[in-house]
Amino acid sequence: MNNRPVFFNKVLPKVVDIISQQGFPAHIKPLVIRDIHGRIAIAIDENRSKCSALISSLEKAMLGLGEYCNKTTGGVLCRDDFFGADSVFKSTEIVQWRLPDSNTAIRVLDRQVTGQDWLIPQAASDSLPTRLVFFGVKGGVGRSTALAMLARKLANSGKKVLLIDLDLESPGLSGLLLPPERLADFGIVDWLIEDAVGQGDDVLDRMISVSPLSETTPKEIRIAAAMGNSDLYYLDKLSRAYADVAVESAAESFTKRIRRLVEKLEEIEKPDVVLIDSRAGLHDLAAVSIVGLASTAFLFATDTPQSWQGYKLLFSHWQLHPEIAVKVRDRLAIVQALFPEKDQTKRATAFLERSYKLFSETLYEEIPPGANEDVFNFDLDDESAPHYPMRINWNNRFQEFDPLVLDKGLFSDSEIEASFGNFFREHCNVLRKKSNEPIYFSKRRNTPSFERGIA
Amino acid sequence: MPPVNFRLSAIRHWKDAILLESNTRTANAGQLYGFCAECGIKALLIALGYPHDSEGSPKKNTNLPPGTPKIREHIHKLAQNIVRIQSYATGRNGAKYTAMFPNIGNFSDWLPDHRYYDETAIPTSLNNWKTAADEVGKMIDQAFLDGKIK
Repeated sequence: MNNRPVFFNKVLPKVVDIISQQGFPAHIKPLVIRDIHGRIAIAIDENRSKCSALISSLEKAMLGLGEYCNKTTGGVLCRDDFFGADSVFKSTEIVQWRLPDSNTAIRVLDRQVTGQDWLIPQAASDSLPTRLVFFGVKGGVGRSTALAMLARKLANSGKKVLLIDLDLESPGLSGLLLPPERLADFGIVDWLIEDAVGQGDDVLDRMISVSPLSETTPKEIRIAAAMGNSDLYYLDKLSRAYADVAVESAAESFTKRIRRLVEKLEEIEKPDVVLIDSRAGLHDLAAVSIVGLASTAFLFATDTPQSWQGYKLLFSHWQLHPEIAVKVRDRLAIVQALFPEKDQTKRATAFLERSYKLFSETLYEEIPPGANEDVFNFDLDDESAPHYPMRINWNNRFQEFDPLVLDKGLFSDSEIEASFGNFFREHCNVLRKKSNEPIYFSKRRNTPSFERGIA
Repeated sequence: MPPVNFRLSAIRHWKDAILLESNTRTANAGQLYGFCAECGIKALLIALGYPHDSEGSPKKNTNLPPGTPKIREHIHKLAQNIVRIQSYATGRNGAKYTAMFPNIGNFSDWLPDHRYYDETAIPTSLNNWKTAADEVGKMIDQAFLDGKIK
């Protein structure tokens, strides 16, 4: 008897084998249920009494999953095992998985402690304002600085900017753009707490601060910061912020609450552009920001193994779920951050090639012979492609940067342009388009070429 | 295997309640909606580590560790004590599930003694009880899918 343990990485391929070999009747479409510890049950949309032979055959096969077979149920579930079978078998959370090198797609109801939001894209809507999300798989790449600079640039060009700080566990955005004495009474975390007890609306109109950075610009930069002007109890509040909350007839998830908050703020503020600072790393807040909110997500990267590895993990997750990848890939745009001062041509080429490799191996589709033009695939040098980076040049004066000193004239416009110029121009192209329109469906004709963009 | 299985009992009571209600036997349907919700909440708490005996029932209401709510009660008492139950079911596991039955207070006028009542004296709250029991039932499905409740 083979007692070798089965580990997590091997479970789903084995499940695919079990399903392929089982020979289900045509009217039965097996549903794979993976619990929060990774244990598997295969659910059949029939009552037990109607498919006893199938159940016993499946139960035998499921033993091959070792400890990853959900033994409570013998690895097989039927309609009568549930309180409300329809809500399980017709769940909107069921996603298709297609494993690499496999032709069999399986339907999976995947139960997770966190991270579900990487697979729940927002529905496209023309009524949404443009939402630009700033994300870095690693921190410390100048994401918040770039956001502050763009906010100022936009306000200067007559756009009303709403800036939302969703980096709740490292609430630093407001520090960059707001002196502490200018913080509003309440922050995002306060809203999450007050909303849970039914008084979110009571704090809503006391959450917005105006950045002094925009005192001399035609339009204001308005900020919903993570924290309010009292930092007392911040951790007490943060430790409760992610809770699901009971509403009229069900529980409302953290994601839905954040989306509701953003929509409420947009309704009140009526901004031209919303800039969202997302938490760095593969965290739920980043998932909500990129998948649940963004019209465009700027993915900050430096040419380091850690950056590419982090994005590979994320993109591979989407790759397993083709129907999600289709909805998400259109909104991604890579930003080459901290672009070095030396060897620029060589380094730009290296970055471009790695970015192309990342997209090619995960989100770009293979081009079958005779395919039409709709295949999601781009050439290496295609400037309209999501892998083609926008660039922010390294300037050590920006590394410990406080945007509030801008108004004291310590930075010249040319210095800012030298670092952020390429990034600004690419953003302008984004803003010309509707919020739910992929940014690279029209060529960026008016922008400098890759080579010309190098300082 | 212990004989008590609150999850399966909750489902059984629900199904029987639906059968009774669809045959206009509303008085006993109401009783069973109450037992369904009671079983569902107990299933959750035991899954979250509530002290239980060898049969699978919650331990008697004496000598419980500090902060442990007394739950050897029917649903009207559990509903009264829901804040303490929510405090017990804290953390990533608990808070998620207790948020799923916001209308548990609907059982405030439910009594086990209704089984002795003249039918005309039982409150006409069947729909409210059904709503709350349905929420608890959906919660146990979610906890079951998560692998938290057996």
